[in-house]
Amino acid sequence: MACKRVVITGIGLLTPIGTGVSEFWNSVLAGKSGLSFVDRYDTSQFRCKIGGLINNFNPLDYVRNLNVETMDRSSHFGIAAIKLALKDAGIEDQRDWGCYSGIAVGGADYGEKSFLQYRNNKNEVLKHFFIGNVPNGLLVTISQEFAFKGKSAVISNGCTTSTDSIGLAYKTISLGISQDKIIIAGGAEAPITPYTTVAFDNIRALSPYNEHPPSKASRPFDKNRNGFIASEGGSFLVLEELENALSRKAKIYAEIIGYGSTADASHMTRPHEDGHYSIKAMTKALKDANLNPDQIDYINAHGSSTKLNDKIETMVIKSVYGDHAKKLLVSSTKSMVGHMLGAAGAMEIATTALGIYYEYAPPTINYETPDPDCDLNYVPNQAVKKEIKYATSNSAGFGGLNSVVVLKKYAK
Amino acid sequence: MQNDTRNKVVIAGVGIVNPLGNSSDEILYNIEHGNRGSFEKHDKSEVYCGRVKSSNILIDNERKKMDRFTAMAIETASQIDFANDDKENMSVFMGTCMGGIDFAEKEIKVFYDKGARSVSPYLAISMFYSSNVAQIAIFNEIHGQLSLFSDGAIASASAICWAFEFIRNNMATTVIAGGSEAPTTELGMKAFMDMGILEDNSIISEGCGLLLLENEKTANRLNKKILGEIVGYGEGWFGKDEKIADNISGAIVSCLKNSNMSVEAIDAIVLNNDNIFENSEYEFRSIRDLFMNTNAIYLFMKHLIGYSFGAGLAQEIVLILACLEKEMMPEAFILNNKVLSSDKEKLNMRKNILNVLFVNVDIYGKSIALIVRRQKK
Repeated sequence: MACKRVVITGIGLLTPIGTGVSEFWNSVLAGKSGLSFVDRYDTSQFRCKIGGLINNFNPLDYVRNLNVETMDRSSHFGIAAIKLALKDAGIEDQRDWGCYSGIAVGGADYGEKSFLQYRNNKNEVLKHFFIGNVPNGLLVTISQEFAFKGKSAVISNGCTTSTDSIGLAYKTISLGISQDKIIIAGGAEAPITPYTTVAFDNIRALSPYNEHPPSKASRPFDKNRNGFIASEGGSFLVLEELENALSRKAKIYAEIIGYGSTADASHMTRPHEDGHYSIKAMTKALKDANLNPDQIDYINAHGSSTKLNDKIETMVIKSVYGDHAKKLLVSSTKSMVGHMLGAAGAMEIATTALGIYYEYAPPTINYETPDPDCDLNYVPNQAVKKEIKYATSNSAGFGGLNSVVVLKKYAK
Repeated sequence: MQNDTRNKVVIAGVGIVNPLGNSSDEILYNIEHGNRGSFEKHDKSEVYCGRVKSSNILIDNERKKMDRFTAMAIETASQIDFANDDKENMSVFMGTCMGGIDFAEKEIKVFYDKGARSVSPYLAISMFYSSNVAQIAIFNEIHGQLSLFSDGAIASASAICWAFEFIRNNMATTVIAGGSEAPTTELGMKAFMDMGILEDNSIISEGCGLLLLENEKTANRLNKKILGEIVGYGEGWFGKDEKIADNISGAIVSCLKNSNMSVEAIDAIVLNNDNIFENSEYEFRSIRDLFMNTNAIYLFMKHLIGYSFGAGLAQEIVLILACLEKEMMPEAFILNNKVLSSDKEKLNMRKNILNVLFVNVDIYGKSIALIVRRQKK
């Protein structure tokens, strides 16, 4: 069976640098940071005191059919991002779509609150524990809010979660795995809680940067980078079969043409030292897209701002792309947004698609001191006007998962 | 959806751990002899829960770095022979509903009682649900695509269906697929009670079930013993109340259509029968309407092996395959045997079961139906 072409026709974003495509993209072009000191709980016992927060968010603006008190904050973000995506795609009234949702650590916010309530009162009723705490809660709340009719899945692959949601959605439409012509895929996360912070803080994965301005805490590829900054938010994309998109004259941001994923299988927190399987994920994705490396114009890097990841990712890009690596534009959106964990991949694929659509390579901000181990063109501090015909978005996760999606500027 | 040019997906290995035993043989022996395994009453209630007895696959130093649901998965994977498989490109797809809740619950108490510095450094890696597939890959040097599906109580069904699609669409040759669950924690059990999904004599279980799914050509090339074939599946969608019956019917009808099979071709139906809310009533109604004029045997086993959420369907497939291979079927599995009045008929039934329909229903209404065809001797 011939593979169907898959395009992105809607984007919904709820991030620390903006809600909706317009605000988000304007922030990206302006190199605006969404990081701030965490003021929701006492951070005195943590090394990391900064996070990517979404303030002034009212779930009641988006959640119409459910009690917002009985679900995790990640569900609020997920539902909001899907509403924004549906509106952006012009299909708010449709329900004939599938949904692949992703979340990395589950209902961190609700789960922690439930535990504290139970700790204080053993008779506390935990009636909504499941909906609020486990990954499936995100999809259940989405289904109850929207009553969609298509194929669904809940993916929880750590930091590659929503890249894999989108990759699987792409394959589903492309190969006709289901009859759905539209699948909304992405992720949501609300990890700014004391318990989630201590988990990453204790393995020194988070940046201990504690100075003003907090916006400088996430500095991918910079010599003085020292860890990632966790962020909250939601990001969902509308993936659509091309013929369907054309028939309803949909706006097309970009086309998805390849996906590849591998496992390092070496260590739970450190990437494979020679990047072998990360290289394999990239080459697998390029092969799936039927592209040579020298056709790629831009890479949205995983770029988590950790010492090891950024160094190895640079080495891997150079290995895959050879001489062409020096011509590539490579940037990390995490420099502005922080790391949205299960929602990061979708946010970054959205950023890549917007870059293709608006012909701009997004910047890596806070790039001040070059690192000899990271010597590519990271689009330092300022977005660059650039026609991007082909791009990739990279993700890497705890446990050694590597996932890459390849995008193309849509052309008939 | 059935397409002759797509790869046939076969089951070339299985593994299981359950409070009744750490192999199909041990579990079926205990069932036949009415042994309870490690199931016992929970707290002062009339609800039963059981924990798996650990094997010696993991040493203590390794075990302390991961949640039980991951440790069980590693132990279960060790039951399967894939030494000669292409591990560079092998995939692992697992399902779980509650993930590392056991580890998380212990450490959150430490955090709030003793402070941040007392929390285990392994919490971060255990917190990610995908630590399960990642650790299986690390222990076995598996480098293909990994994925953790967390679709609630149908998670292992979801993982198996995705593995099926990957293999038949040439995205993978071999996939370890199944589910693992360790839900019997203090908070978990309290939540189940408060949600109203438990009643007297409910049995909540932990456990893991795994299938080694393979492209038939690869399995034959490697001289693997083929235990069965995944023929096809169908999915419903989320629904509420009465719509769950339509949902289940929809999943079964879709499964039959995708498998190119009629209702008459189904010899046995393994029911979900979780007794949660009215789901079982809706399930019976759907199946009765579809299969009332057939001779299909109804089977169920949650009352024996326990309800293990995202690991359930995978364990059920492993046990049914073991039963079919031995041409036996515990009486306790058979729900409707009114058509089998004689021992001869019962024996014939066991010999002639070829196509088994498995029905899996999530608490919140989504269903998956899957057909496994045994490998005839």
